[in-house]
Amino acid sequence: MTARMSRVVLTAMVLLALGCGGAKSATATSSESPSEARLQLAEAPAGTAPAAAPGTATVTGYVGLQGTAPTGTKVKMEADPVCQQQHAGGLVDEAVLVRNGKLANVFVYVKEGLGGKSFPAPTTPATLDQRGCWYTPHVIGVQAGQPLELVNSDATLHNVNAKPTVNQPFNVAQPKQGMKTTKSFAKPEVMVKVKCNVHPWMHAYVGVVNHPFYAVTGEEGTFTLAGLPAGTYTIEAWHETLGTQTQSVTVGDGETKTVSFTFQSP
Amino acid sequence: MHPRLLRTVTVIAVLAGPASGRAETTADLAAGQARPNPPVVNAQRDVGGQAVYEQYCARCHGAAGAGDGPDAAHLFPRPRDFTQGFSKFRSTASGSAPTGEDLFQTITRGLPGSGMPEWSNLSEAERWQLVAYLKSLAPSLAERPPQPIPMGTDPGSARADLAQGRQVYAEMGCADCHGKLGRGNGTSSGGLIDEWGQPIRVADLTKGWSYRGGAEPRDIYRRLMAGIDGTPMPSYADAISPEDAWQLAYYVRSLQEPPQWQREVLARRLPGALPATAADAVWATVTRTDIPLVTKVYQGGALVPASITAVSIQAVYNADSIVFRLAWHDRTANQETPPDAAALALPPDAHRGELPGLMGWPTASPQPLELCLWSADRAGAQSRLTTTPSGAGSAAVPLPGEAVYDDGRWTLVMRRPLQTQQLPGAVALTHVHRLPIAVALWDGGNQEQDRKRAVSAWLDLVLSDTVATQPTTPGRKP
Ligand code: HEC
Ligand code: HEC
Ligand SMILES: [Cu+2]
Repeated sequence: MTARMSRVVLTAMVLLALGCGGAKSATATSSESPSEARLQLAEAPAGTAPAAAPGTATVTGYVGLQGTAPTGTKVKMEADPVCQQQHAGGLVDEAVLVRNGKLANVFVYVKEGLGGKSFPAPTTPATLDQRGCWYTPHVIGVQAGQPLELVNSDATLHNVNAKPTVNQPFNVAQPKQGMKTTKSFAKPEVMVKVKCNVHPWMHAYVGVVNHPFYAVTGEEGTFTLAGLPAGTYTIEAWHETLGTQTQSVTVGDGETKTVSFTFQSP
Repeated sequence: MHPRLLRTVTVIAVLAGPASGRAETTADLAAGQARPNPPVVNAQRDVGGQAVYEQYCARCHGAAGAGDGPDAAHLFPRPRDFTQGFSKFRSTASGSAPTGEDLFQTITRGLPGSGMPEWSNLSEAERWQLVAYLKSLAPSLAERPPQPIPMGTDPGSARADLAQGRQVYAEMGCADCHGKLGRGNGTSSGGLIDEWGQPIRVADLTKGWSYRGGAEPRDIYRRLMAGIDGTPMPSYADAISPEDAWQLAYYVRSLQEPPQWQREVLARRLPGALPATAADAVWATVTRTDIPLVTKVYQGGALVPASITAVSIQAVYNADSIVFRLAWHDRTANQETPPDAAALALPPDAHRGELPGLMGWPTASPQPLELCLWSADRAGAQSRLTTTPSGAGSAAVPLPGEAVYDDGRWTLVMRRPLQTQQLPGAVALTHVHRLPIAVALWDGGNQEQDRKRAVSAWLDLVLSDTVATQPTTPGRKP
């Protein structure tokens, strides 16, 4: 087994754990300095012990980008010194984050094929952090009904303005450092845009699905949807500026199938 | 009429949904019969609501409630699209439905500072019918029932602690959007867009008269805790205790500057020298007149509203000159193109007949006016007799004075000689007791120039006593 493979499997276990309420979803890691330019990357989910899987099939793959990635735009933060202070070297908003032709921040999930099966929502919250006047992660997945913890790690006011269309919208202020607010989305919705009006450059996307079979690609552009029951699925890959792509795949018990997506650079 | 009773009936109707007309009627009757004084309107209630809606509301809110009636294009902010289920002025948690009472209040009081009229002349029964009908237009509201915000205990004015309120204002970051003094000029106040994709302005908290949801501490408390859904204004319910929120509400009320709406500007005669600066102590002793401005401007048929909503005017004079002081709120000081600018308009000498409204001038009536013009990109103001809004191309007389920008407010002082040979055709103020004046203001930050500007109606400049006693009043539109 190659190093990459084992990593994929690890991710898969994490996803399983996530689906069964055992793990916390993507959170900001303190190792990532907020002054680093590539803040837009979604962190790969991290977790502990895997729990019993609803199935044994796996769909894995990567998302690539053909063509040259557009160069990011520099974020203007002068309005809030608290923000600017944290990005001595400036911050570049890379809507399309590519490394070696692989695309990060793509939300990949099972769109169809699970029939009427239901998967209880984890009670462990997923965390969307506001750190250095930026959302970390930039793209996050949650299960419908799962708590989503909104955290303000900055010593400045943020407001979290969620603009779903099928779920209940909200717009809450978080004026103090360390403040946490827990919300949840009752119904599946890909994607819910979240933004801050105090810092107009701040936005994030929350993918809400009613099962645990979703992932957000990291820097390597890979994803793994594990623990699937055997079946035929429509897998969708969503990217904030490049749109969506779907593919159909059939997997049997214990089987792993590879599905890859390639987006076209605009 | 018993509003409470009607409300109960309304709730039943909404639960039953618009599709089940028959079941509703039965439910109504049942509800009605169970009580001593059944409301008269119950049987045809929904139909009634729709009829009232079509008669009074559809022209703005649209036949299907989508906020797209024939008058909608002429309003800023735009009329609400009821089908989306957003409600700004609620007493309920962010994202949850408004209570029937919230909607009833909005209909009854209107939304001052917007195109939404008040409907207190409709019967209470009709207003409750409207509430039921509006709810039926947004089925999604039923899925997020009202979650009332905690109201805490109103400390009352006597126990309001403004210092505490001010501290909460700072801690909560209100100034980020509303500005330190509440003038709507915070660092995050620019370029905001609402849920409907329309540009939206942060409220100027000093203008209590423009609060749409009411200017009393109770109203403000609700806005803070519930937020204003569909707009950048967030809910502070999770961030602030009810005690602090009340103190903050009283503090916000203390930021309101009661307007001195008047149709006249009373110029005061001073015995000696006239003030040369905006900060001169004498201004504190001079009557101030506040004027609301017309902000409706169309470009290529589309409404592009001007941003300055009011101006304060003062004037003092002596045997030689008159000094005008204009003060207005503007989010940013813009020296660049287009610059912030102001014009005080006077009729030319021996003017007869009606004066053109400044909004249509000069296109609608190309007659010359005298404009005392100031522009932030030029040193000093000038007076010109002109037929263009910017005064371009005409002879100019310098007007000494100054313009000062401070935390969201411009204060402009201009001194004009009572009479001047340098500007042939200009009116001599030595002979008049009453003279029409009007004001136009340009906000460069809102890309305003030429005909895109906020203007006042004509009002009277009244000189407390004429310098040479010979009253002549040029004609003006009554
Ligand atoms: C002349 C145009 C006009 C008419 C007529 C009108 N409205 Fe409005 N209405 C508006 C505007 C503009 C707004 C949005 C104001 C804002 O966004 O602050 C509004 C907003 C509202 C709201 C939303 C309040 C909230 O909390 O978001 C309600 C409810 C409402 N109108 C009810 C009615 C009813 C009922 C009628 C008929 C009796 C009516 N309106 C007639 C212009 C109008
Ligand atoms: C992210 C920007 C933002 C922040 C932060 C903010 N507001 Fe607002 N506020 C707005 C906007 C925008 C409006 C205008 C909404 C509209 O036009 O419908 C508004 C409107 C208001 C109104 C007027 C409501 C009415 O009835 O018309 C009050 C009062 C108010 N805010 C108070 C506050 C206070 C107090 C705070 C701090 C606790 C605060 N706001 C924080 C953006 C903000
Ligand atoms: Cu922010």
